[in-house]
Amino acid sequence: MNELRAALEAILFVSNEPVTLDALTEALGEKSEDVTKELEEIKRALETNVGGFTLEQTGGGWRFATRPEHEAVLKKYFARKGESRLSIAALETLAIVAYRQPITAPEISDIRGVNSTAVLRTLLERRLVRVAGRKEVVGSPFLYRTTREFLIHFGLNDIRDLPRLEEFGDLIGEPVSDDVIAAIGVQSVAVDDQTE
Amino acid sequence: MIEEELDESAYKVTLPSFKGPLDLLLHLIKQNEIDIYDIPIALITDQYNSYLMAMEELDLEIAADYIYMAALLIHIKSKMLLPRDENVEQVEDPRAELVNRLLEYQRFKSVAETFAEMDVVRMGVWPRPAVSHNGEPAEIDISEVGLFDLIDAFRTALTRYKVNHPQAIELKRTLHKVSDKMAELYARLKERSPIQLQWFIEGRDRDELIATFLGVLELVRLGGISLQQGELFGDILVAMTQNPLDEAQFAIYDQR
Repeated sequence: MNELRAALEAILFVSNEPVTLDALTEALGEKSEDVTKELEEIKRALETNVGGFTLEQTGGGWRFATRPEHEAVLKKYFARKGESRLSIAALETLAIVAYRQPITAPEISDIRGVNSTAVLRTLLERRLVRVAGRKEVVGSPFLYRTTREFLIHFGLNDIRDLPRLEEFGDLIGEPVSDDVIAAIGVQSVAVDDQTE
Repeated sequence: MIEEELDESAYKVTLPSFKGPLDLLLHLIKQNEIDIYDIPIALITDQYNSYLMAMEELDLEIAADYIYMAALLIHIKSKMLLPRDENVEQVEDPRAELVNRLLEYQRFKSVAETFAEMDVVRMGVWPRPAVSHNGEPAEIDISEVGLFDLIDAFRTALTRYKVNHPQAIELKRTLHKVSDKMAELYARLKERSPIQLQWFIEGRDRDELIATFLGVLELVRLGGISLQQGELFGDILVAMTQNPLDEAQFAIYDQR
């Protein structure tokens, strides 16, 4: 048995949130390439030998988690309804925050064409977005960003893993002109230090 | 009276639910197979307003955002009717800003759809639950455990009981006495303390859970046990206190 792999499994088994590569490297005193290699190996082994859980890289770290196939049985055993699915309004708002962060509530409402403060509150409660300072304009409104929870919830390792906004197909017929892309698309994926 | 009320709700009409004025506009554009870069404003304004009227008739609350958009459409329409000033070379299309907003909104709408698909899948992925690794849980007094945490613990047991015992046929009614539950818990704690509250209350039916719940509260009040919680929303631990209780006095709680 590979001792490094065993040690990694032990740490991950006991951890309840994603463990960063840095933390693992430091704890084990091994080179990060070796640790990464073993992590990939564990992940591969769990995926070939399909069992009740898998190793996933999410929110800037690694963690064991169940597979979506077992949702029903888990819910039944734990007598849990689970968190309610996010509403379309919440998802729209989250999409805007994700691609335009940091962004204020009025700016979000402007894009959606509807007042979005209530939806934003729900997202704050579910810790998918957070307040990240104030914007230096009249009224100094709060600026919002997505959280690490957001990344974990959607199984993203990094905010840069979001598909580029331009990849989201264009609507009704006509291809989007370059002008429009320039105007609404590209500045988007704000690279942000999500892990803290 | 009741029948009338039922009748009323039976005739409820549902409109496609729009997420706001931009969503409604996109719907109209799609429905009419219009080129978004050349929106016939007069037509769209009319249709938009007739939707609002329908919503009004159905007593749906029309948010201010919809009214604002109606005003904006009329404003654009009036601008387009104005004769062009020959001296100004290039006049910006009055619709341009709206078109850009629609395109932008449309894009985020499709991102939201993708997020929705991801949400469905990811909801099924469960991580390992939070546990404390700091050895002994910190002692917290009953006021910090909070009545709601306690109720939650019982509710969890109750829900699980219901799930595991569907359509139970009650053959005989067992009377559960608060005093019995107090004695049972106390005896258990004498063997081993602390224990997890959840283990003690698991697998009991509703009546028994109620008696147990009251029993736990009584024991806390008497100062014979303490409840601890290692962390917020964590498992509740029950422990004996330094203050021994006379088990004979448990019986008096049934006389109330």
